[in-house]
Order: sequence, then structure tokens, then C-alpha cells
Amino acid sequence: MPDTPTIEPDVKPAPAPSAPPKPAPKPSPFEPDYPETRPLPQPKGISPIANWSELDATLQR
Amino acid sequence: MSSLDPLPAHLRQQVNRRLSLNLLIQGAATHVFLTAHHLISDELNALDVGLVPAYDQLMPRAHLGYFVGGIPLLLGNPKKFWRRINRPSNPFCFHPFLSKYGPQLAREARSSIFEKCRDQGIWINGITNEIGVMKVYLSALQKELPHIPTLERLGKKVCSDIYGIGVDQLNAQITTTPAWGTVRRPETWRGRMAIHLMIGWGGVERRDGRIGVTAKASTWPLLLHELVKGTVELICLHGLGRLEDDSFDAVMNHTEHLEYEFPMIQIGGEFFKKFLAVLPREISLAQCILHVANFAPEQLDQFLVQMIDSPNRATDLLRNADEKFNE
Repeated sequence: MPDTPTIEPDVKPAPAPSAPPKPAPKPSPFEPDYPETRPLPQPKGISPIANWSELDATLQR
Repeated sequence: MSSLDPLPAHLRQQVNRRLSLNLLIQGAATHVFLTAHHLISDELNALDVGLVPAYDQLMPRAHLGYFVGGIPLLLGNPKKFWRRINRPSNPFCFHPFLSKYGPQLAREARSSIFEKCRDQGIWINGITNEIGVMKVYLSALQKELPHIPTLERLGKKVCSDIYGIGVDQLNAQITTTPAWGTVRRPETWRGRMAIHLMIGWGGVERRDGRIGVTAKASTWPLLLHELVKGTVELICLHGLGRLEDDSFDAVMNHTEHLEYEFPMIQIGGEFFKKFLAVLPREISLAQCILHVANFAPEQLDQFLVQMIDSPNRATDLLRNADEKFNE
């Protein structure tokens, strides 16, 4: 018996359903979008204890 | 806006916004510094059973120093400062929240710290407080000395536990030379004197291309104060990053002054108590601060006023901001 050629149906398999688009990640409070070229705010200080010896040294300068 | 205001309206709005966020930053730090050592009392007791009692003595005395004694002598009488809030020479005169509620918060803060000190048998007197605070400060330093690396690690842990920030973003150092970064030269002689008296500095800096928190202070409770200050500053950069360059420079020139930090520390703790009271329970503290940092200037003014006058509405504003953020 001659081989009967198999005729493949010209139908492409349906593409797998694509996953729903991922929502954009929310910015973390600790990763601000801050321009690299911009200076950061200066540090803030605290002096709850008046250091009189240091003050005296400052006045002497 | 008053016709006496030397700033154009659009710039005044941004200046006021930054002043409000600076108050939030100082408030968060002041609030934590008075009580946070009790959050890790077991760990502190394991190091030295004298640490918690030393901090219990040090913290109210140190905060009292912002109301009586050397600091008011050098930086000016706080009562007079807040009484004169509506004079154009007062730096907060054109700030709608501070000019209206600053004196009230100052009275509450004063009563609160006086009461706390009386409860602990601490004299409300400038001279005796200067002597007393120095004595307990030196005693605390001595107890901390053998445990510095552990205390630095504990400071980062407490800050991370409260705010949810990773400890890898925190740089903490207990040191007697805490100055770092570049601080603009104070414009007043009082400020130029005060800058040499600082025993703690906190803020943000870039390390390996990433912005992190740096805190340096001479003693553990102040180290935590500086860590929290830097962490809240980091969150507040969200709003600051969107300003135009020209506006940014002008805003910084009008808000970043060492002299302004003292009145903000005086009222900051009371302010932050009211802030905590309006936070929706389901939203984290860091997330709430992020929403506040992203508020437009008018919205931020509205939020602050509602925080005092109608707290439920302030809570709703935060909930709405969180819903929009999550859309």
C-alpha cells in the first residue's frame, strides 16, 4: 500500500491566552524619584544639651 | 496672602509646604526620642540595667532644655517667639498652620514637658536643669561606652521596625564628633553659636548611587532621633524632587535654617501626636507620610488644619490619597 500523504490542516494553534498586564510597581516610600543632579537637603541638627565648654571655645575663636 | 509678604504667592505656597514637611520631620524625631528606649528595654537591660533609667532621666531633662536654660538664652525665649508669630519678622508669620496653631501647640508642648518633669521630680529651672542634664548625660555616655556597636545596630533595628525601612539604607554612628554633610552658614549670630553646640545630625545622603539615611549622635536616644529624622526626610524627598530647579533653590533658601529647627523641635512632639491620631489604621506610617509629602500645597494646608479642627476629615483625606495611589 502506498503511503497516503497526511495533509496537515492549515490551522495554526491558537496562541496561549496572554497573562493580564502587570500593574506598574508603586513607588516605595524609601526610593524617591529625586533628580541625581540636585543637591539633597542639608542635615538637621539637635542640641538638647547646651555644651558650655564648646560655646566658650567658639567665643574664644 | 498678606500684602506684607515679600514672596510671590506661588513661591510662598512651596515654601510653606516645605516648612510643613520640616515640622513633620522634626515632630517624628522628637516624638520617638522621648519614649522609644522602652520599645527595646529588654535588649538595653541585657547590655546594662542602668541604661533605661539613665535615658528616663536624660530625655525629659534634655527636652526641657528647649524651654528653659541655655538654649532659650542663646536662641531666644520660646514664649516670646510664639507670641510674636504674626509679626512679619517671624519666619513662620506667613505660614497658615503655624501662624494659627503654633502658639497653641507651643503651650501644649510646654505644659506636657513640665508635667512630665514634675512627675519625675525634676525641677523646672534653667540653671538646675543645665547641671542635672549634663550629669545624667555623662552618666549615660559612660554606660554606653562598652556597647557602642550593639547600640548602633539596635538604633537601626528600632527605626526599621517603626518605619519599615531596610537597615541596609541606614547608616548610624554614635560619636562625639557628629557633624557631617554641608550645612549653610547660619545668618544670625545666635545660629552661628548654636551650630557648634550640636550633638546630633541626621539627614539623607547618596551612597553608591542610592539615597540613604545618615545619623550621627553622641548618645543612643539622640542617634534614634537622627535616624527617624533622616528616614522621614527620605520619604519627604518624593515631593521635593518634582520642584523646578529655580523654585527648589528659592524654597531651600527660605526654609533650611538651623534657627528654625529649635521652635520646630519645641512643638514637633505635640504636632506629631496629633498626626498619629488621624492616621488610618490600615495604612502604614511610612505610606501615610508619603501621601502627605505628595499633597499639593493647598491640600497640605487643608490637611493640617483638619488634623486639629476635624480629625475625621483629615483621616478621610489620607484614605482618599491612598485609594488614588493604589488605583
